[in-house]
Amino acid sequence: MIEIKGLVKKYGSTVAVDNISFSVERGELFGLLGPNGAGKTTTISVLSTLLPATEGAAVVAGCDVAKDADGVRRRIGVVPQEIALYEDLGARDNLNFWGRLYGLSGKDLQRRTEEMLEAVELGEHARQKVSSFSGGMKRRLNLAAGLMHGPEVLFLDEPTVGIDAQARGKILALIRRLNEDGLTVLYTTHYLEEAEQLCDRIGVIDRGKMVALGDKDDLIRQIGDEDTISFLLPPERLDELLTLSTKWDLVGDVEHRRGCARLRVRDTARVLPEIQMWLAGQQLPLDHLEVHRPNLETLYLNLTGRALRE
Amino acid sequence: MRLNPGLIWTIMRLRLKRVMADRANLIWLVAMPLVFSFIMGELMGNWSSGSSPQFTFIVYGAANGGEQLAEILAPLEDHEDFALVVRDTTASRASIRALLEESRVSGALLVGDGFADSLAAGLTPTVDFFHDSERGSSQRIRGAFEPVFAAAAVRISAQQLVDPAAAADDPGKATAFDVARYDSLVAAPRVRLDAEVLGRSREANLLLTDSRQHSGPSYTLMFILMFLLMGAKDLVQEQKQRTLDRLRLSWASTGDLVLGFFLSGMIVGAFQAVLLLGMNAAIFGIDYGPSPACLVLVMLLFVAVSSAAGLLLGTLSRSGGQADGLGMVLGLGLPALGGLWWPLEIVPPFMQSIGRALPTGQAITIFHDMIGRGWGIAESAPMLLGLTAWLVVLLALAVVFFRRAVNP
Repeated sequence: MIEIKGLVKKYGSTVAVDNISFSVERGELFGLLGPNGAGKTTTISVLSTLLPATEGAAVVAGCDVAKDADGVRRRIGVVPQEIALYEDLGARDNLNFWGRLYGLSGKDLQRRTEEMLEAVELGEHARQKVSSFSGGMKRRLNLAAGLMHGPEVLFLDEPTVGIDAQARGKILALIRRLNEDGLTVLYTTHYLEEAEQLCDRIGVIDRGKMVALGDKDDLIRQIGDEDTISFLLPPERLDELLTLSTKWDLVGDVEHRRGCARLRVRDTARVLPEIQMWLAGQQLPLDHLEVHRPNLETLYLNLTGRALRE
Repeated sequence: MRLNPGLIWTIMRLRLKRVMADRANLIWLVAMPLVFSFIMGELMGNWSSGSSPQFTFIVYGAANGGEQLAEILAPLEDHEDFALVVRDTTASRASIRALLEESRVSGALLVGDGFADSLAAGLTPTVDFFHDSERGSSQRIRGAFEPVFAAAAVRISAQQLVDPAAAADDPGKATAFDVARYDSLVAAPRVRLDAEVLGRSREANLLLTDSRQHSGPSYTLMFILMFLLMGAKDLVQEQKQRTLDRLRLSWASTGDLVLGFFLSGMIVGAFQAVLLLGMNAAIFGIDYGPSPACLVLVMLLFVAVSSAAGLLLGTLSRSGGQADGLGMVLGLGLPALGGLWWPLEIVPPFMQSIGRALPTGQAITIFHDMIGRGWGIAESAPMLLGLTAWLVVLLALAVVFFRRAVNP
């Protein structure tokens, strides 16, 4: 449904998107994960024909984005990160307007508007001005506006930024439902947990480059099955820990930063009780002892050397 | 360029809805211009000379007219619209024409030598009436004079129906009505009116009699320009909020978007123009002259120029604050330079030249000419062409920059 090969987007000497390639199958929910400024929005802008690519090729829903912008635009829905709505008008007025701009009219427009208002649970607030909506309501209406014309592919650019957990949950549930109904979704986010919850496959983008691409679980497996155990440790006890750790089959060295020791272990079930016993014997506190399973955060940290939210 | 009228109308309707949704806009659309028209009109005072009537209707050769002429003119004395000035002396047709063309008088009547004698001898004397078909003041005189003259002519003719011999025997006795004689008198009336319609001179003095004839149109023009320039920030906001991106991704082409934005500005401006000009006419009694076509054309052109300027400003501004600031500078500067705050006639000649090169100066000059000289489209053609040139340039620039903004 989406096919990108060697996509490059430059602004003068700045390379916003650097030779990325990936594809998204029909009915798939694909996540593009990366921090702010990684190139996610630029990628969506090129795919939705808002920006021309500097190099490379992209085909969306069978239409070449460079040669058939109209064809692409008729088949896609875009939900931008900004609330792209007229806040001085009501919810229904907004949806009616966007529906009309996609060729809907008369009863079809009316029916679709009501459907969308119900889908995003704003039926009771249809006449209310958008400016009086909460952040979550605005986000839901923003999503509905992108769906008015029943697109084949939906581009969602960080659709949950700045809203509370409950509102986010509603939006994610709606996206999952839409995807289950057959809609192809390209979802960008810098929230790891959203990508983990929602997406079948993930592309990790950093500074314009695609640093990892594939099935979510496969990607995590690539960085290994090792858990990370961390606990508070005064620096003067580090030598003792290093001596003890030689029998634990660690992956890499013991790290010690800001009074905290981190160990990557292959056999957590065996090592963890030993650490607990050692800490107790040393009369060191146990309440900061943590075990981290490998996840997308670990993956991102591993790939870029930085945490995603840095 | 592919255009879809349905989508253009949808965009226009949305923008109109947004303007109307914000009640604060009514202050700028209606209240402020009317208040300014009134205040500035009061400040500038009445431009007519004291309490005398506004226009002059002059009669030359009154000494030739005798009692019959006095009878004709009697109903026109103390007329509320014009002053009747009666001269016993006669004047040449050329000098009368000059008086009219220089706007020193608004209508003239020339009574030839031997008028009364000819009438007494049973002949048909003629009086010559001079008026200007495109000047409101002149037509008001004509409207008052012609019915009075027609009634007098019938009266004079009817006197011929009286049998002189019977009247000599018994003046109070009615005579038989002679139908054939009456018909011949109607076919050949005893007094004839020859009307001469004059052309206009571009050097003619402007005759504005009331400051509201200036402040009414000028504050209408100024607030239309200001409101449409202030709309520039809406376009900036559309870019920032990415509703413009959403519009670009819709089925509307760039041409649909440009026209939608431009025409919606025009509709708002036209609505404001109709409302304000109408209210100025109703409240302050402003007469915009004898050419409604010229009035419509100048307003359409000015509204279009203002809408194109707003669109251009919106595409060039990088922030709402910048659009607001530039809009305010232009919205106040162009009216000041163009003679909307005060008439261009009172500023030095070089400032008049600058003013008349600006759309504001061109529009108010057309208004002054319509109201004070009775000009129409033909006479105002140079200024109308000036406005058209502004429209073409501003709209072309707006389209180019808009395309650049939406198709980076």
